[in-house]
Amino acid sequence: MAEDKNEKKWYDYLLTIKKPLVYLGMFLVVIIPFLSRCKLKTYETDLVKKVFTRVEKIHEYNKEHPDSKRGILLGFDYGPSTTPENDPMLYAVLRHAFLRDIPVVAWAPYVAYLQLAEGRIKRIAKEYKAEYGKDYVFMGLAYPPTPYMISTGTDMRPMFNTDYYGNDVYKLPILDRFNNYDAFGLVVTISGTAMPEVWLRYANSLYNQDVAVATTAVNAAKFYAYAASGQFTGMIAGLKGAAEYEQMVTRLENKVIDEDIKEYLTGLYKNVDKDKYPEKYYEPEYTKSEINTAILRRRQAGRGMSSQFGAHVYVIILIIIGNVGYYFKRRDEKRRKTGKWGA
Amino acid sequence: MGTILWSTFAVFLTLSIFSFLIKDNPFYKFAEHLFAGISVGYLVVITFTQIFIPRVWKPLMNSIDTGNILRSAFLIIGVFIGLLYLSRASNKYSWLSRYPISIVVGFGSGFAIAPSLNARVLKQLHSTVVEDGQSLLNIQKIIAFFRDPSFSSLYNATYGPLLVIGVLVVLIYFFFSFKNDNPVIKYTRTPALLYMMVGFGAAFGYTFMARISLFVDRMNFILNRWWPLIQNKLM
Repeated sequence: MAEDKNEKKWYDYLLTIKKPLVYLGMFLVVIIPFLSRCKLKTYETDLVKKVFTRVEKIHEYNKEHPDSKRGILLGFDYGPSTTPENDPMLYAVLRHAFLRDIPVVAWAPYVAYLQLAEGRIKRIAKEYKAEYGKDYVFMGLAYPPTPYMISTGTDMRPMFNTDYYGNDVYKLPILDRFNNYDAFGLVVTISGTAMPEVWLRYANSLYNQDVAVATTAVNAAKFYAYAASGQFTGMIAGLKGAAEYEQMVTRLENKVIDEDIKEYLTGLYKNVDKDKYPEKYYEPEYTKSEINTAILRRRQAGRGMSSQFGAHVYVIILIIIGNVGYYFKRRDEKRRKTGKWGA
Repeated sequence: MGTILWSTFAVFLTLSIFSFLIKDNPFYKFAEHLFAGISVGYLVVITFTQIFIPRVWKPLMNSIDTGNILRSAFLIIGVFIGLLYLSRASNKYSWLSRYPISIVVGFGSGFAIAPSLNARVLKQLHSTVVEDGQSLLNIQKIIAFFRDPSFSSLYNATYGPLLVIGVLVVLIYFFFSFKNDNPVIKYTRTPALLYMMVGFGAAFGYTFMARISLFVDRMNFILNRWWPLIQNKLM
């Protein structure tokens, strides 16, 4: 019997699944873990552990040398388009630094990142009663970044004149010491761009400064070569890396604070001198919804990982289905051409 | 009330953008144009308040007040050279923009060449030969694997040679991409392709993770931030 060329085979159905159906499937696999409040513990990789260990080493050093402490220079190198991945990284790194009382100096290299950075940094500083100008400072815009990175080899202050809030950089006590690479135990670049390469080129290559990178998954493949060669001290890559770091910091936080986080935040600004915390930087009190948000923030990446898992399994299945369909379709076409059909 | 309104508007914009998955439509177009317009407006204002005012205007006024002529002149010359960029708008005077461009290119190249060579070539080359003071082609690690076979000793024994072989075959592939029947070039093509496929696969996997993260975040916003607000308001 002659083969009907228009007859649809089983693999044709596999290869012509409608796009809206594929999207609907993706929507479901992402949303179900959210609705079911599914929790997934993630394993911790060496590259992320290296960043964590490096920060811990700074803490150890600071304990032994209280008069010549080392800090962290934080490059806020991301914009709104990559906040889902970079935000949990930033929160985890800042929580770790403030938890260990490590001074933080931060800047942002592009105007679009400024307000984003300011809001996020003060949000975390507030959770640990960090004082602006003493425990942390946001320098504001460092554009174009190259001269700022180079000037930090000697003193970053002349490049800035003022910080983000307009304070004179020579009047901020934190900057008396933390104004060049010698005072920083680590540069952490939280990035959704190619900025880590620029840090590597100037801070690491010129000044031998340790640089750790926290980057989006898209950029991770590019930066692996530098992490493997040891040029980057460690790497937090994508939501998975963020979930790992978040997990490590939460474990540390439970150990250091040793108190239910809700109670800790509720009592944080009771019986403290509120004049130490000008409202320009953050309001020294917590509302109920702020506490809930702060608690949710502690598992921001971890919560996303359950959906990631579902989405990855779903795509693996789709790739297998597509390949199986394509394989059998090609096999049949080949047989049809060589006349071996039905043999 | 303001929070609910703005959050609901954010949800509306998110859904408008996602509606493009079905097909192009006015909601998508509205969200897209709104984003483009707001981005430009925001950047102009922030550039003025965060660059011009604190980096130019205030220091200039300050140095004029204190009679620091040298600093004032330095700032004015800098602003003048920067303004030459705007000459591109005129056909007659666009050549003036070459001055600021040449300064930026000169400075950038001068500073970038040596550190780039160091960071991207020399250190990478070094790490393809030596790791932690030991050669990557370390026969001792291979012997250690045969003495005590385990996953960890297998990884230690194969990691270095695989990396070195990978770098060599891929370099050969790109260096001799023309037809060449030399056996070295001929027989390294398939392994080079395999290495590259693994690299592309890893890049694709990571890209997929990144895109899903964006979607997860929007769902997180809708389900964990916006919806509880609405629930609280309704109850």
